[in-house]
Amino acid sequence: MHETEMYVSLVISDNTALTAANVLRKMGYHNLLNLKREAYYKFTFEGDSKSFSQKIAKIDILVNANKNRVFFKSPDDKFADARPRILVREKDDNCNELLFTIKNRLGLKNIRKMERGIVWTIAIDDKPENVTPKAWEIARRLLYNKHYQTAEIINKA
Amino acid sequence: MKKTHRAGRAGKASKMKSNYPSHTSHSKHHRKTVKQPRIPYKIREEKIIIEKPMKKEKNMFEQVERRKDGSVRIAVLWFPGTNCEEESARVARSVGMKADILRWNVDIASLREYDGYILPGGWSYEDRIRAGVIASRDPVMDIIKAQADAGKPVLGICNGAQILVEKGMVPDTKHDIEMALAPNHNPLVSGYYCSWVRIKVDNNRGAFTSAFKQHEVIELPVAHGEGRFVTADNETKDKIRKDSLVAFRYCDEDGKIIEKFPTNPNGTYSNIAAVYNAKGNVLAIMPHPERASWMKQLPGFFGSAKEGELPAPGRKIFQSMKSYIEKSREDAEKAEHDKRRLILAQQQALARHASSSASKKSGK
Repeated sequence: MHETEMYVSLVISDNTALTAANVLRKMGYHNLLNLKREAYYKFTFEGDSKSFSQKIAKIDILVNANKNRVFFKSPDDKFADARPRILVREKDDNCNELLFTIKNRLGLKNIRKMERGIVWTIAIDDKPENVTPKAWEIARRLLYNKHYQTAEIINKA
Repeated sequence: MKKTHRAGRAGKASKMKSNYPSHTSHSKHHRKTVKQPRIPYKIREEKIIIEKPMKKEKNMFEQVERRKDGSVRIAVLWFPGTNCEEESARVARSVGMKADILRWNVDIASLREYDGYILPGGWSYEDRIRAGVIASRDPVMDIIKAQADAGKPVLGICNGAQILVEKGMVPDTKHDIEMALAPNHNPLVSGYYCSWVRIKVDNNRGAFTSAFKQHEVIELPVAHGEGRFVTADNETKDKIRKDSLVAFRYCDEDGKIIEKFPTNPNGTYSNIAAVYNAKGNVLAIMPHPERASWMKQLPGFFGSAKEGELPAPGRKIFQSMKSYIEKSREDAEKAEHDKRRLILAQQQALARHASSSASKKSGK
């Protein structure tokens, strides 16, 4: 059994991320340099990783080739940069409907499990020891609601 | 040759009455006192400081002395993406209140002069990040919150309810964000769901339900994708139950609370359709009362045009709001009157004491 993470971002301007950044600056986070948003999917599957990645990237309900860029990463690998990343997921989201569609209507039957969420990459101009706590504070104050979502830092600065 | 009026003629003001403040109309007859900011938006951004503590608002009814006609004035807030402001203002006017539709970046001083506020439905800021959160962080909501803390009624309908929940104004038992309006759990439809539902009055003592009988069942439409009240906090759940903060619950036509679809259209906790804050002056309601305020709006209505103009149950929420404001004014005036009488009595007692002391001294 293999696992892979897929990160899907927009090639055009991400108005949601821009709006979030504007609101955060108005809330007092003037040292916020950049805020990036990506759709996150984690797949547990059988078979060859490379061919699975090629097939899943062509599933147009997950990736629109005209609007999105996509990259894959193993859950054990680290990110190339040290910017903090916050993964936000819904508490009771089991992706059943989406998984059924991908397996039964789109033919990727070797998927056993999938998870999804949103990853926010936060670039802050501050001392290294302050960056991660600040990112966590930003997530708590705007990016997720603890009553129906969970948040975790998947890449610490 | 008889001149005819042509609508939209260049240089001539339209004769249609505008519901919006004067900056949207060129007619000098509809100029109102609401001022719009003239400084460029970019400079405004730098001047806005949200975290500055709000000064404590005066009692809401100290302002009543300035208004000589005694009318009740409501501000209907209009964020980018709000689309139910017209219907909400229309129902508010139908019960005798004066309703002004104000943009989210309105002059703050003018906002304080209103007796109550309505946050209508729609998709404010495109529901970016999640429904209602961007609007809830807008500076205008700090003013609305301060006014609500001072006792003024605030009604949030659908997206307005989402804004109130994300601001922490309901249920407001711990001055924190205690709930969420999460995506629907619906076995038939994933995402946005619209239908007519029945709701039952669970608490008719608050600012928006006094016109109803306890356990009265009414029919309203729902139209939302994130309408599921949830909370991860057991203390909040206990407080909601003990203090009867639930205003309406989804029910069937007999008034039975069944926690299953279709009676519960979105999987909301304890069939909650609307919830009050702890003080009972702020209501977050997911169904749309402004869409069930005239008989002609109700499903299955086939009466005459005249019968169609009769009031329907949704209007009672707005009637209750007006009654609450008028009663609160009377209470404030009575309290003010009693206070003045007390001060006068104390002054008279002091004067009597002073004169008796003076007469004793002169008698010696």
